[in-house]
Amino acid sequence: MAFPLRLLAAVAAFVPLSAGAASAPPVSYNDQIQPILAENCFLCHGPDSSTRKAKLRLDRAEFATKPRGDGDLEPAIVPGDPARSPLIERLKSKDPEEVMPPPESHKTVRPEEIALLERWIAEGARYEEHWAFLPVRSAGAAASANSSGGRNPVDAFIAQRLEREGLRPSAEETPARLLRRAALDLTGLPPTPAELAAFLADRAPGAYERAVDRMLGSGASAEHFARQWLDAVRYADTHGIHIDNYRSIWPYRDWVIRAFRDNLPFDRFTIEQVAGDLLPGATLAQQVASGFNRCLPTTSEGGAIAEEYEAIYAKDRVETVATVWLGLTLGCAACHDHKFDPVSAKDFYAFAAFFRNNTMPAMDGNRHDTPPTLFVPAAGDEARWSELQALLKGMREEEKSRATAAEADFKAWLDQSPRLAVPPADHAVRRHEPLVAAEGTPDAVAGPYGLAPEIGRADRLAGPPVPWLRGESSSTGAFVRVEGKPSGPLFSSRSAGEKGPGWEVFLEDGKVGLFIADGTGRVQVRNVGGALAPGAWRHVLVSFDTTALRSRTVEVFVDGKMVVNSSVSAFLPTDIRPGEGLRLGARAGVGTWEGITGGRVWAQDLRVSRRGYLAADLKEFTDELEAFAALEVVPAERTPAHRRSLRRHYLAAVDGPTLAIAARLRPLLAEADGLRARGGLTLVMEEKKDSEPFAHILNRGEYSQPGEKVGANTPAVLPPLPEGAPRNRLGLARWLVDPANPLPARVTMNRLWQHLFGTGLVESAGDFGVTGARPSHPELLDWLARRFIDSGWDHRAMTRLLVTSATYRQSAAVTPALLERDPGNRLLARGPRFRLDAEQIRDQALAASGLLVSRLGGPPVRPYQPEGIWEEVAMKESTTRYYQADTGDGLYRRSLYTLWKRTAPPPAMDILNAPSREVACVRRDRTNTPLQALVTLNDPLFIEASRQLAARALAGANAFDGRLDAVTLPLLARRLAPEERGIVRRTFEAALARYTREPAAAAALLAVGSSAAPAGASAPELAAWTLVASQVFNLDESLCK
Amino acid sequence: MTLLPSAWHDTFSAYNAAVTRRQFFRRSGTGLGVAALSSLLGSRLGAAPSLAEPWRIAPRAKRAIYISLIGAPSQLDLFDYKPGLEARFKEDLKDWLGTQGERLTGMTARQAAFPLAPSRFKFAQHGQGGAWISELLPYTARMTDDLCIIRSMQTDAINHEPANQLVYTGSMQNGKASLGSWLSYGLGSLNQDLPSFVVLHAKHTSPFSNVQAISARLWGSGFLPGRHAGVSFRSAGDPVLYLNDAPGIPRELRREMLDGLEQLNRRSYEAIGDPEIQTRTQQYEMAFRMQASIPELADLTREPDATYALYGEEARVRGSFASSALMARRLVERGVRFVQIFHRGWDQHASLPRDLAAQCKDVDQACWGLVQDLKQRGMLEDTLVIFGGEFGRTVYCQGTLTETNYGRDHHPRCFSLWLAGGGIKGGTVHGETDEMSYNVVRDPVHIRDLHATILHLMGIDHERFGFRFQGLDQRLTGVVPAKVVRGILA
Repeated sequence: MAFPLRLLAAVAAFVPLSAGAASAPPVSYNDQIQPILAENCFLCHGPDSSTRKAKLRLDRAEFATKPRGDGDLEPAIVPGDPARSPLIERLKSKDPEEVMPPPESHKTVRPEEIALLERWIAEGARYEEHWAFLPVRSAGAAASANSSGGRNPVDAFIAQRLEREGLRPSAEETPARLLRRAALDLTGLPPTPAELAAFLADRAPGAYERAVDRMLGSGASAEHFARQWLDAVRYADTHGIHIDNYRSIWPYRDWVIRAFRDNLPFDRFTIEQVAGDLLPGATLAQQVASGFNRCLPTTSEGGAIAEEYEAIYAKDRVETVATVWLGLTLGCAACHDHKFDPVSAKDFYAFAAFFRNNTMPAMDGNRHDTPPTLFVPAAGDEARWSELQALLKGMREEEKSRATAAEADFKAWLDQSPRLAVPPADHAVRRHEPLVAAEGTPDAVAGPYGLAPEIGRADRLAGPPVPWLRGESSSTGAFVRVEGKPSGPLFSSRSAGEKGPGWEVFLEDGKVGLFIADGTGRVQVRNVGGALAPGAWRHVLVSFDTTALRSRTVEVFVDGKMVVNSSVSAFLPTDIRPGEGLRLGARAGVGTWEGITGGRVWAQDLRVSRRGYLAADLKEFTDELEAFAALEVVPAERTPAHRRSLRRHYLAAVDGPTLAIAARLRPLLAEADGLRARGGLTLVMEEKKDSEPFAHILNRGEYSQPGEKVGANTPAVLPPLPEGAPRNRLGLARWLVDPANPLPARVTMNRLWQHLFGTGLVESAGDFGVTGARPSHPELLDWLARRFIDSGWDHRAMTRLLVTSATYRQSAAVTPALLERDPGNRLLARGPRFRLDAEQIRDQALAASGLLVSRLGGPPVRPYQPEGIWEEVAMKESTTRYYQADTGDGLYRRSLYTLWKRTAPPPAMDILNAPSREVACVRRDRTNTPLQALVTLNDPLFIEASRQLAARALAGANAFDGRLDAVTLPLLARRLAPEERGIVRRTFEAALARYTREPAAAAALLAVGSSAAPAGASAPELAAWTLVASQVFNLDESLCK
Repeated sequence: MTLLPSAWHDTFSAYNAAVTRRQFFRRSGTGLGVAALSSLLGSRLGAAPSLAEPWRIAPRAKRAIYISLIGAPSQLDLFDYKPGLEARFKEDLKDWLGTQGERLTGMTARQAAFPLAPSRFKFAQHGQGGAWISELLPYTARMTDDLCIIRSMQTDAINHEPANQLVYTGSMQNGKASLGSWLSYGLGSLNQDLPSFVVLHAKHTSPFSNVQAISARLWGSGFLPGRHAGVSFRSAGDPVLYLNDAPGIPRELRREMLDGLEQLNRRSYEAIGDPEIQTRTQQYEMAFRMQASIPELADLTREPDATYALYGEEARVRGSFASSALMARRLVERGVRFVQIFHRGWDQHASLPRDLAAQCKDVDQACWGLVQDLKQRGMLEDTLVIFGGEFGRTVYCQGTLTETNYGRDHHPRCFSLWLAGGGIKGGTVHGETDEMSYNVVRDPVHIRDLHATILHLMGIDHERFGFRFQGLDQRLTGVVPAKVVRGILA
């Protein structure tokens, strides 16, 4: 055979190809014939009409056994008569012109396969519908298997098969090992020593079930199941293509966690994700759930063509939904009818149409908040957030009505030939210097609010240092007027010298410049922009904003127009912590200060704010300049525009009642800012209101070759959308969990089985189609699917059912004979045992060492990562170009919270087989490589965890044995046997001797990681125990469940 | 030729090592040993093709080095000499382009005029074949007789992301397997202690260069088993991620710790019988060996001065293109099957004269040095070297055209690249474009044809070489018929 039969190999293990004996049961089309035809014939004689040869189609009886073409070609199969069936004749032919498959296909059908086909034809050539498309058999029919003991019906199905194979199940696993297995499967974390002790002490019946219930109800369990779902929906925190900027969609991730925590029934779980936005009266949570549709990789590459990407996005969404819910490879039908499954290109585009009627732009704009988006308050803030919104709305209305009512007062004010008043500082202002000079101040000139002082002639300290910290915003601005072509600092907060950490907005020959340096040399920006026109008042503001994670972190605006920015240092990799305070017209020099030369500069109304500005936000300042200009015009010559400006100013700075409202608003706005900082924006889905979903069939999948227009519909081979169901995503979502749909329940239960037992009942978890694997236990799969539906789609109950089965509780120990018989453990004569997933391995280290910071949800975090991983691949302007690890809690959160950059995923996770999250992944690879060994041996996190675990052991016991128990119990859930202790002791003693001899080595080892090393412990001893803990972390037993 | 499976990731070869190193069979009893081995074979057979696979043909090269110029260098300024264009300086091609039915990128589609921009670089003929090469590549010009320059490359993509995916994975869609992973999957490794597919990231030196993103999908394994993915050798920090022991763990202590680990794992194995336990121990042993062998490999300081005379003094700078080229030679010398060097910064939409010159300076001498070095070691005859980008660039100017400055937009209809070494007919030029280097007029070579040819040279029939995924026989060359470019074969 030309191609390795990876998937079919599994079938072959279970289905004897030739039954031989005359008394054999009739040949099964699904089990025996279809695999042969699919492998050898369907490519040219299958569902794909475009490549079909000789007008012959062999995948369905109505074509294979009837005359072909216009009736002038004989049927390929004559039921009951293999000798007269051209199919057999061609298969057996020796003539290279005649023989099938043709020699150029490099395929051969073996004689025993031909014999099987002959027998099948002799028996009447009875076709069957592909097994996965048949309705799920009812629980009643399958329940007859529920007789042969075990703990629950699952065991009966397994036992039946084992009996047939002449095998016996294994004994139950020891309680401690079983608890560890269940804890890792249900929570992703090992049991704590306290949980273990409590479990072992619980002698009452049902102790295990109680432990299972406790674990299933935990937040850790929700995180664990959510993390697996995130693989399937290809969740990530960056857009994925080209600039690969950060995107804010973590509230969707948190929705998934909460859905598992609340055991949201799987039908609602499905509907809310696929179409939560379309539900009548959709709640905030349901809209957040629709972010499922926004998890796909998107682009904003300069030359990208929108239509092309719209086609790519639709295909991606079809493939994801089809893989996750239907177990079908629908994407294959994007270019042509499916080669093997009865899915036409028309079916594909009708399915794609569901996803082509929304408002998401084709280009993500490299924004973190590509619309449509929603703001989601943090858990616990929801009520106050709504309350605040209502309060603020009310007060805005108050403001508005006062604005109308204030007309007379405004006129009166205007009649007094007024001066402008300094508007009060808003809630975000940290420092406000009006800079209004007293009458007679030398060198002062008229400014918007009276006399403005000259700056740059003396060192003017305007406040403490203004740091620019990651995750925060800060802006500094003032009205500025220059004469000549001045050079020198305008606002600065930096240290003396060119390298010193700090920032500055400066003037250079009258042009505006920006200086940033982080003190390490990594960030060293000195950019110069446009000139500041002399002789007039301007507003100059520098905005630093990392909260929005825009492409440019730092921008300098003059009168609301950006003139210079941080350019290549788009996203500052480090904090900027100036050594000196904020200065106006001056900068810190060595031993003295430096001021302005070559011209003169005046300033007024300096404000330092804890918010960032976009160009559009700066109207509040340019309005003031307009009002100032309007005031200069003699009243008789003022235009309506002049009056509007002055009116705006009157309300913002003069009108008593409005100012009173503003004063009441300030604390509320500050509070709202606090809530906003705790919550997050999330990408959601939104349907176009003015059009019906449709798509064009794209010839060969090319966006540029649109063909027939089709409306949204589900594949013809599956049950149709119910009468009257909406032909949109909501209709699709409900159809996915319609009990009549034979696939989603099977596919979901199969993934759950795979999660617990390592391999699904259907090995190809993402392909239930004709060329996918056949179920090892078809009746069991149907029984589970039926029970899942009948339980009200209760995923947790099904999980509980499986982990409380005797099958799951078996010992994983295997005898040579059994290993030879069933190397992949598909028959389940023993318990499951395999390596933990990447996230579990890291989370286990965090949990066992006590480093884990347990907190459900929140923005993504950045744990340790080797240098350069992002920079190596990123573009200069990417917001995910520089990686800087968090400090504190962010280092020790569970791995599902790690910021996932698609083009450079977290390297340790990647090495341990985490997928890239670029396409739906329902089954991870599980390799065993030296690179993985290097991760758990040397990644600083594992060293730090070893040190922490060692420190706990030293603090908890005095003798070697007690300390060793303190190391192994949190990881292995057991104490080591005497012989094992001897082995560890040898490592320990060698290490202790070495570290005693070389205190520097001990100090170096203990310095790894940012958590504090415990005081008081002897360094050589702690270092030696650190090495021991690392040894235990690296045991196969630790790495496997 | 000895063929071993890709040892880096492969359980099976580790298993073989286990046989000799730990006398595993004897210790565990014959029945289990054989059973365990067959279980591994059983689980691998589907994924790793045997030596007798029908797609194997006689190889012309054992290994390959692909120099990937990310951003797409201008064929008009390097290899595709168009002497008639000086006279047409600034001629507006707007109307003519309208007749071409060409997609324009979003960057130039709205340009008012499309002024023709002749190359401002001098070309001369070199070697016995008289190939035209630009003054930007003086060293490359010296080895013209070793090269086959294809001037008629074609691609389907007009933007970097999809174009790079097409060149390096054979498809513009996500989730496909990369060229190197296909070779690793098909041919395995020639070495026990190194991966079969290594990726090097060479730094570009000009701060002005327009840099495009790349991502792990260009060297990923897609649907192929994960162990065939390219392994990045890094130019900062550990040469392989997490390779160096944590500070304060001396080598002897590491050995001590691993010995204890081995004994503890062996006890687990004896109790549980899972052969993966033994495999894991072997992987730890291999990791330990790599900790010694890779620093030796990555240590270029022992190379004689003659080496630096070849590759250039920049080869002493870790992470430079020259040092990457030298590293590539050291890797293939030690049995790595496929080395890919990514060098970014070739996207000259503006200031092409300044930036392309800088990019060329980064790579020119070292490419020559690499080819000479392989030749003097007798390796060029069975090492394939490929040098090229993802598409070509337009004859018309993007932005403002002046006497001295211009930029060029993306152009998928033609571009140039060169091949050298194993099975390649040196001193040849293949294919031809029209007078504006706009359309191919003779011997077009599509990306899939290039793939077919690379596979052919490496001993693989591209039509028969596939992997069953999602019910389809996935192939590097895809479904549209591809052809081996016979004309360039020696």
